[in-house]
Amino acid sequence: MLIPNQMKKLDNIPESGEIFLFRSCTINSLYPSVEASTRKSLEVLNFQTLESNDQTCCTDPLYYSNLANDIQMTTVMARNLSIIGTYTKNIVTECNGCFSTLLTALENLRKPKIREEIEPILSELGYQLANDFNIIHIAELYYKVLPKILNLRKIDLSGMKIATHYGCNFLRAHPENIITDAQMPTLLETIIQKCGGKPVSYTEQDCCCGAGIIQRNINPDLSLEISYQKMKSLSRASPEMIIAICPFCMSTLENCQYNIAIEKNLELSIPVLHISELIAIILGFDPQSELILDSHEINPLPILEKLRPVGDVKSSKKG
Amino acid sequence: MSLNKNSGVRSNFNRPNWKFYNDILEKEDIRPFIDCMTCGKCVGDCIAARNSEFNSRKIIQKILDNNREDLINSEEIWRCFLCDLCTIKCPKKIEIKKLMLILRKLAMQSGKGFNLLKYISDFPKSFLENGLILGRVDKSLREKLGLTKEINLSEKTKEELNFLLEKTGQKKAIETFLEQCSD
Repeated sequence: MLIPNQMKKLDNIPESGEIFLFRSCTINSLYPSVEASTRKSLEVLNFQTLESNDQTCCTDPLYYSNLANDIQMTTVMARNLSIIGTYTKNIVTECNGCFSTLLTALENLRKPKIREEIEPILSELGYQLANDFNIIHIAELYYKVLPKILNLRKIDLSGMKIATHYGCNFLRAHPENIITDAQMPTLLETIIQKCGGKPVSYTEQDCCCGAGIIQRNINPDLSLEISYQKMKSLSRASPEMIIAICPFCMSTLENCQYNIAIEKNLELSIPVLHISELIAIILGFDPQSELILDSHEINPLPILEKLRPVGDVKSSKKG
Repeated sequence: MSLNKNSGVRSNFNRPNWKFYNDILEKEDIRPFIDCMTCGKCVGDCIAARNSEFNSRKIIQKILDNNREDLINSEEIWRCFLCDLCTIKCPKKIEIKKLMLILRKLAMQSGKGFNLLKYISDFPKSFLENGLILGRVDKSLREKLGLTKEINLSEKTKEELNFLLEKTGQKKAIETFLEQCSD
């Protein structure tokens, strides 16, 4: 059940047209295949993606390490928002860090004390504060246009068992600003199920991937223990693939499997894909030649060979 | 300061020395957490608590016991995963993630935590240099995917960012941080 604020957000998500794609440094750097998947899928789904070389990083890891306070983080983001405001009010992100920082910055800009401090600094550079935006996670955008995806889809998920991981910064940092229940999320499960896959549930669904923003760096043993507990629970549901919506979580969930094999004696090799990559596959883009998904730490190509074209699955069901 | 100090159910109700608590509330943008009912729901679901000595309920108690030094010198404040599982389960929606960040900030102001934080110094360094926290890209993979080979901020943007970072004191703060990490 969505609360009124969440329903309002769902209503405001566009079904086509211009959107601003907020650049995520983690996607650009670690997962260009996600970036390519986003662009290709959005084009097929009739969105025009705008972006800007003037946009800077969201500074999320700095904000969560006290290296950017609210004024500092919001000033950097207010400049980004002023620039984006000249294009559109619909901002789409592929990263939970950017998503949560954008929402926090907007919340801050509504506080008079913060606004009054930032306004004169930005106006020295000729920028005017803008704060009327829809901050949309790409997973939410796909959910909104799911009927369109189902019409255009070329590939059926063919009963593949899939585990989901939403990530803390999406689910819980701004629980009233997402279009699914933060404690019982169903957004990804709905997409997977409608596209022919089988979402599996596991006890540690809520658990952090183990990154804890900086825990992988500052407390690596504790971080690995958390990843291990998560992956152990997840692997009991024997999924063939994990779908995540944040590049930082993806990187942790992929890399931890190597360390878990060495340190914890649990051999796993479960591919981790971003929802953009899954949607691009469903829309018919070739996982190898067009999306280069074997660039991931854990190669998903062998498992993807199972997937059949939509017509095939339907006819085999009839037969 | 007009706080409703009677709203919590606490053993130390009659002998409070809430200097540390009041300091935090006065200086920081956080909702009063005296509403904590010590129910422990935050600890029950906490991934750090089940794997270390971290205990958010006890940390709140220590603040109310005015145990400032103990807390800012402790290892436990650095164990929180900032995952918000506690707040979503908390009947009073106490902002525990924010509280942990405040305690870490106070620790950093007393010169603590840099033995851990030095492992993240690449993030602020890259941000100051390129305006991006992760700046390195795989050019050939990007090209094969039909993406722009490089992600570079325009010179104008770098200048503007530098102006903002100087104006808000963030540049100085990061530079000081990097010095403290290398000490």
